[in-house]
Amino acid sequence: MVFFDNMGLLAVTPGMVLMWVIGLLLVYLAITRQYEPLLLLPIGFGIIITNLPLTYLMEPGEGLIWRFYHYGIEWEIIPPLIFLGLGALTDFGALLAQPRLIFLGAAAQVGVYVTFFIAYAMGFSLQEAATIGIIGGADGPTTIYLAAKLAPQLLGACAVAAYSYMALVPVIMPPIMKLLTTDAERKIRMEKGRKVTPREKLFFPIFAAMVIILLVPASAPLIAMFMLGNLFRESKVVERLNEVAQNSLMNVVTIFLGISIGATMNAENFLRKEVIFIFVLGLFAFMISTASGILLAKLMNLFTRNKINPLVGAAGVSAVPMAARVVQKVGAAADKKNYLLMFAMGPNIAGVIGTVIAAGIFISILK
Amino acid sequence: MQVAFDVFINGISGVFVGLGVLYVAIKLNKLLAGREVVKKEQ
Repeated sequence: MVFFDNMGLLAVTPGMVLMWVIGLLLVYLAITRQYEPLLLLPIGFGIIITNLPLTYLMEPGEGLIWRFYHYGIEWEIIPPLIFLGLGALTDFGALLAQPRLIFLGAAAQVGVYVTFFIAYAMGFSLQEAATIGIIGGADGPTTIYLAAKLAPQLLGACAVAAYSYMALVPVIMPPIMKLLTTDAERKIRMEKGRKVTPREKLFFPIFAAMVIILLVPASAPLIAMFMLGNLFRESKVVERLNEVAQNSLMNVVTIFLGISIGATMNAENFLRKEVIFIFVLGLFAFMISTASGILLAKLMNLFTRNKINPLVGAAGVSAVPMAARVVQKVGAAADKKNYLLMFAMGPNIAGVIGTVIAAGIFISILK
Repeated sequence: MQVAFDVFINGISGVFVGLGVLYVAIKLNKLLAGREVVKKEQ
């Protein structure tokens, strides 16, 4: 009977069942633990439905989710739109008040390149190694953007690894922070930054876009949208656009992003030993990035009178604002009245820009 | 391996140069746009 021939139930494979379990696990973590729920929930659901047989949802040219994926991610539409929203949500005040903290965001990219090198030595191609390394930047949209450009076959695994580790920032970072700092260092109280004028905040996105794009043209799609979103915010004359970029638009693209990423993770693509390596290397990248930010802060303290609390260096990984909140929490555990959150936001935002620059450099050399 | 090493060196130095130039841009921005408010406050 034709009905039975076309029934999906008969085409289920053990690999698909395993993928359902993985999808359900992500849905569970998103709902009960609230681990990056805005993304892990649609990703988990996307994994489940793409691993239902005979749906052809990811059939090139035909499938519904394939269209979301193709026009949203392959055409590089969605990650820049998310950056537009992030720019509209970002206050650069902390960075402008203490610009020296920008270098902590640069140091945190060391993990990206160290992991790139190790992944290549382990047998991944240059493009795949770059995509794995960028997980260390802890920036989901940048990871997706780079993966779509250099190694689309790793997109699902790298995106899930990046968002998982971002969700696990409060678990992964504190042991590294405590290991690399003394109690006295954790108690360092930083001097308050100067007052930043509204005009400085208004000029900054224009200057920053020009400077970064002139240096790394390949970073233009992400940086341009990031700074445009911030210009919406700081200009104070396009409140409607600012509001849409921060909320409605961001929410809409997040839906399409999440389900598209989940749908790339079919059993044949995902159930490979390389995926385990990606998760291990991604975690390693993230840990090295955290450590290198702290170590640079300690190094800077050797040459400056106005000391930096080295914990702030850990916020150089992007993961905004979670990493900064963790810095505040660990700092407050050493000294209740030490408020590090505003200081940590500087390297945190610098980390976002640093990860985009790192991705731009990968693209310009390896594409 | 040579290409990987080149990417490694170019990448790390590129990120520091990129953010270093941004640091200079922030300082210039302060000179250009940070003054006005100080005058007003005086």
